[in-house]
Amino acid sequence: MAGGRALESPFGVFYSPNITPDPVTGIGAWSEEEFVQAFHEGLRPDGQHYFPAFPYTSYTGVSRDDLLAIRAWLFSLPPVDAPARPHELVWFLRWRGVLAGWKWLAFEPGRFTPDPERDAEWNRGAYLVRHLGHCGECHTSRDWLGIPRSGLQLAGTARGPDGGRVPNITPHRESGIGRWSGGDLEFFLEIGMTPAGDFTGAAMGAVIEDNTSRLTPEDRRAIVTYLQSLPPLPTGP
Amino acid sequence: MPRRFIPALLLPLLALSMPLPAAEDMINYRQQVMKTMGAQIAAISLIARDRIELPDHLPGHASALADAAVQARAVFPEGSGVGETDALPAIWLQREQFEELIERSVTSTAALRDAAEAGDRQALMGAVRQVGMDCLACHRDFRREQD
Repeated sequence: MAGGRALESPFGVFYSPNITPDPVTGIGAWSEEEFVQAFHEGLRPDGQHYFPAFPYTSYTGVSRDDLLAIRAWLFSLPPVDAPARPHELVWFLRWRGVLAGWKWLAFEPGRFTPDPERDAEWNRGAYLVRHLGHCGECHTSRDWLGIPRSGLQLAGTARGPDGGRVPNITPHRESGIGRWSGGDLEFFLEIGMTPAGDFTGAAMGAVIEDNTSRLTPEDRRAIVTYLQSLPPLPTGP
Repeated sequence: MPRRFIPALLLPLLALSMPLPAAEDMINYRQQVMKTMGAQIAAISLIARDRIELPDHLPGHASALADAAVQARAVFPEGSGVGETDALPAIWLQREQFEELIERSVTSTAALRDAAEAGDRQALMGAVRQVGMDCLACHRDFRREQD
């Protein structure tokens, strides 16, 4: 949690910041309001814009209660004195003011509101996939401005965050997860195994190890229920 | 020195000059060992999740899996990282971390075999999860990303 992990993108390399409660180099001096504002509005405590490498475009939908629970857990960790490593970005992004324009185009702040037409399980899945789990940040292809293509949500991309292919997770039979059973998908999120016995590596391996394997079985089922309800789409560019 | 000793003295030289098993053969063999592991854990998972009702098959699958995990210790020799392989150079550059992960999978697949032999379904499911985490951990750092 002390930061420094590199995220390569077409716009340069982002380095994750220190989110331990160190008051100087971490987030130890942040109030609850400042913490929530970062996720909901994409703003730093000093009012500057965040780069969307911090996926506030998804996190904006996360409930205040969940954010405060995350804050409480982060603040229980030992503080680490580790200054942030500066991002290495293309020249036109070295001034954060540019982000105001990007946010105007690409960012709509707002909490998740359940769809009354759907049941609780589907709504839980929608909340986890779209917001807390921010699956679309990798699984949706982006246009030249780095804005996720709204018509191709979760349809995968040939050029993911680290330059590699990211699979289509809509229920398309040929290019997506349409041939997987619900049980196989839940089991994949639990232990990372495809029905053929292969184990995913790289970025999704980390997601499974650190996140989805630790969810409750009910939450994994909710994710699968939501994904299987999506329109089947061909894989994005 | 009697002349008949000369061939004996030359034997080590002969061994040195013999070609090492070709890298392609080792890569092919390694892929079979890995596929065996994948096929066995996939089969075990189907039975463990009651999708296939053949519990008598569990000990056989689990034993084959544990054997393959032991075999995996020997299938990444120096020089076998070139050619058509998904094995990343990190295997040979960070040997200690890699071998630690191999040992973890030897331990977890042995626990899975024991649970299968004991017919302990709860322990079995826990062991399947642990084997999965060990496979993931190794693929995460040491296998080329799959298309």
